[in-house]
Amino acid sequence: MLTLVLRGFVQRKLRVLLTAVAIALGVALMAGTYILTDTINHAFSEVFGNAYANKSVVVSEKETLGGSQASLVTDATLARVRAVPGVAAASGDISTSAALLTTSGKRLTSGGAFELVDALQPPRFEAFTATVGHLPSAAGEVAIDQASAKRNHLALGQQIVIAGRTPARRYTISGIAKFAGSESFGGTTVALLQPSQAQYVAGEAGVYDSINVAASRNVAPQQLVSRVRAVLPRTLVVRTGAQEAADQTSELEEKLGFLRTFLLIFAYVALVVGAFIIFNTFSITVAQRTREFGLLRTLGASRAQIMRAVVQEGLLLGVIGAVIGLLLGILLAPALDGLFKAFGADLPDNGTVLEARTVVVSLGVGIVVTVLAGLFPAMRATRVPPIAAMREGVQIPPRPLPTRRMLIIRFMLGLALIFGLGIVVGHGIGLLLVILWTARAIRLGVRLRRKGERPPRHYRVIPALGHAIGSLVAWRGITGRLARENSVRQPGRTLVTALALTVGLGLVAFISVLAAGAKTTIDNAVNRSFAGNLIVQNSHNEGGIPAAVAPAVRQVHGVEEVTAIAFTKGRVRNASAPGAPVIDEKSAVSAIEPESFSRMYKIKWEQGSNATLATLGQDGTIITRSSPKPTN
Amino acid sequence: MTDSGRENIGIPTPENNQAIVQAKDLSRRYGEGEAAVDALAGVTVGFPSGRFAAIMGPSGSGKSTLMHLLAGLDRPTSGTVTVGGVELTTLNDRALTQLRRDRIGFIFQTFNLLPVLSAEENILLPLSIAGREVDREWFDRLVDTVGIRNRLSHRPAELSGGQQQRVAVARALISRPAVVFADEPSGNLDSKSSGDVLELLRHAVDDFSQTVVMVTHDAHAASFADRLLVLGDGKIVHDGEAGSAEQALDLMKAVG
Repeated sequence: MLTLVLRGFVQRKLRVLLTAVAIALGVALMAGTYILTDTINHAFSEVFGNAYANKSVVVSEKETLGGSQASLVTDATLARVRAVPGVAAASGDISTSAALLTTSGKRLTSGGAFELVDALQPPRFEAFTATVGHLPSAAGEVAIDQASAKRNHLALGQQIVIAGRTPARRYTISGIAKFAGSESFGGTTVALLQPSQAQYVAGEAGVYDSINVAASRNVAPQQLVSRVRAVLPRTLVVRTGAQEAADQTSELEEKLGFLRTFLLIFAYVALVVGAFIIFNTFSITVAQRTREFGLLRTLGASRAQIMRAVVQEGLLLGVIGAVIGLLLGILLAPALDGLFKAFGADLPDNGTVLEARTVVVSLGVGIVVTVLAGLFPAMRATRVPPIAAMREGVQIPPRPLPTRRMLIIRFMLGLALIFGLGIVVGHGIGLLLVILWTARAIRLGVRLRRKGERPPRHYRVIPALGHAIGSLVAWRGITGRLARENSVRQPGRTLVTALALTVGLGLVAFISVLAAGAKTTIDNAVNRSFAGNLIVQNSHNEGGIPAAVAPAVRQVHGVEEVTAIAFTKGRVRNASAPGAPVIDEKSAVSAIEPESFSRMYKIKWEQGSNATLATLGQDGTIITRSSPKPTN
Repeated sequence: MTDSGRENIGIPTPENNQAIVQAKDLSRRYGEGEAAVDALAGVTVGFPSGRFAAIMGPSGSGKSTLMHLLAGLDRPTSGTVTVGGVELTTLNDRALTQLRRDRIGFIFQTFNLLPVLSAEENILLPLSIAGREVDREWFDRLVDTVGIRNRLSHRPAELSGGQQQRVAVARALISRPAVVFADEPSGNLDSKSSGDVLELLRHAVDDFSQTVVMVTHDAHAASFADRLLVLGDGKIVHDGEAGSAEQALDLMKAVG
């Protein structure tokens, strides 16, 4: 019997291939998504690994707004770290976001990619090496990463403009650099400046973001961490370079998780549609092969054998489809990467990563989906009567009604399944399923009592629709009329065929509506509370804008009022008791200008009023209703 | 069960001489109420082992229905069918399927070979369904008997109608069934091929002591049989020695 299945496959190559494509597309998208995200993750973990390769210990600030004097990394901090026994070298590092522009005012990046200004480090810490020219050796010099230089056709001696928190300055390109052997720092545009210049861009002279520390021989990084931590205020974070690299990698992976989910949703949509196509193809081929199944039954094949043969076909098709899909996915990953690049998101690629998980999951899902899709047609094939071998046009009889006992057992099993699912999919859908399932059981029960035979299904809507839509093509003569009649003749078939398209379109529409809805919700929230006309912000949402921008905007003709706002995250703790538990580890904190803020934003006061704003002072705060409440 | 077919080949014993296929008061009604049609109305007939019987009758006489009931492809409204001592009406679907598999061979008007399989694979299909081992000697003998040795690797589409039907005859005999039912075996063939296939059936009966029951409306085909049954309106109207084609034709004319 297996020979029969295999022969059928070999001799219907084209059909098999075309059907397999239905499932292959979904699998390809799935495998491609995994490969792409794995590749990016891998590349970034390599990037971060390289960035921290020679840094035994890293001292950094906690994420705070402005920072109190105690939490700043200054020259004094650097001196203290250098004095720690076991420290071979230490240097202050700055990495700040800034706008990088050509002299004609065009940005070096597009599509929201990051732009960073880094302070040049001593050679042992510096991961960048110049491929052309040299790393900046004078205040007016800058080195640019190779990818950005290529993209913007920048050459040595050209000038670029860097605008940070302080007025913009021009720098001359002295070198084009590679980051630890790759063309860019994970797709980020990086400008390397002398430390003092980086501090100028960051707007904080004599202040660093972090300190890179190299340990002497025989000193373990972990050991050095405790030593350094002992001489520094607790507001500074001291960690090993390896920890820092791992942390940054996992933080990025978290961010990429969204991309993965987003792409996987499309893969699942494609798989569902593919499953419908498989189901359809199998239904058609089963109907076409009625005579063949009848013959096999006549010659003594059991129903189980017929079932097995069709399921084996599904299995084989699933394997073929999934393997094609996986191969396509391997090809697709670079294509997806290219797509992102085309939109300006320059993701790093240090060789494609194909993890075992990708292979197992995509093959598994592809095969299981195909087999499941072929299960119902397979069951139909078992109902072909042996007599079909003798006569033309023997119809496959409809499924016989279950016995009373089977009906009750099935009903109970269905309920159990729904309750099991209900936990997963939510109570609303679960309840709906229970109602539908019960209605079905009652209908079957009634029919069982009345006749004992399942009457042919009646569809009123499909034939009516078929006639209506068919009329559009019916004027095309006999072919048009045939098309119309065919769509009406077997409503069930038409319904299932159309359903594949319906499901696909429905899912895509659902996702677009969901995405648009989310966007609108955010827009509305902003629009409702914002009473002004314009918002000025950094084009990549990360990092601030120079303080000088607000007064500059105030000077613009036609501007009546300007209010500056700063956002950051902070740890909220109940201040009444020393050592009280932290209420919120990463609370959103906004800094406002009290007198102008209330004229720009409508605040819905639960307690207090706009007058309260004037009383804020240096140590006052306003919390939102959803903020965690102080406990006393 | 695997060897049970063998007992029916060889010299007829008194036991084997009893009807291998037996129908009693067989009726089959299609439809319900006023639209009901009695395709078969109380037929009692036995087919002894090692004999070649032809069933004739005009369209709608019930000859096909009778064969479907005898072969366990359809269930009677009333009456019983026994094949090799087993009463079919008491069997469930699984047991009936197994009985067809092990004890009955089929030859169809439209050959019904599987297009994706070679001639050899088609012949061996009943054994592969049953999961039985191939008796190579028997296979070789059948292949030489039906004369398709040089066509074994060909697929049905590459064979002529006569060759296809000869493959089908070999397929019907490969499992050494108790009885072979042939449904208009020459209906789709030219007269030369038709003669060849009927000769083959005659040969199977004479040399392998195969029991064959053939339904046909071709009087010439019927003349190859030992016995001729004529059906009319669901009843047996003639049962006797098969004579010449002319005699069969006359009988048919009498039935109308």
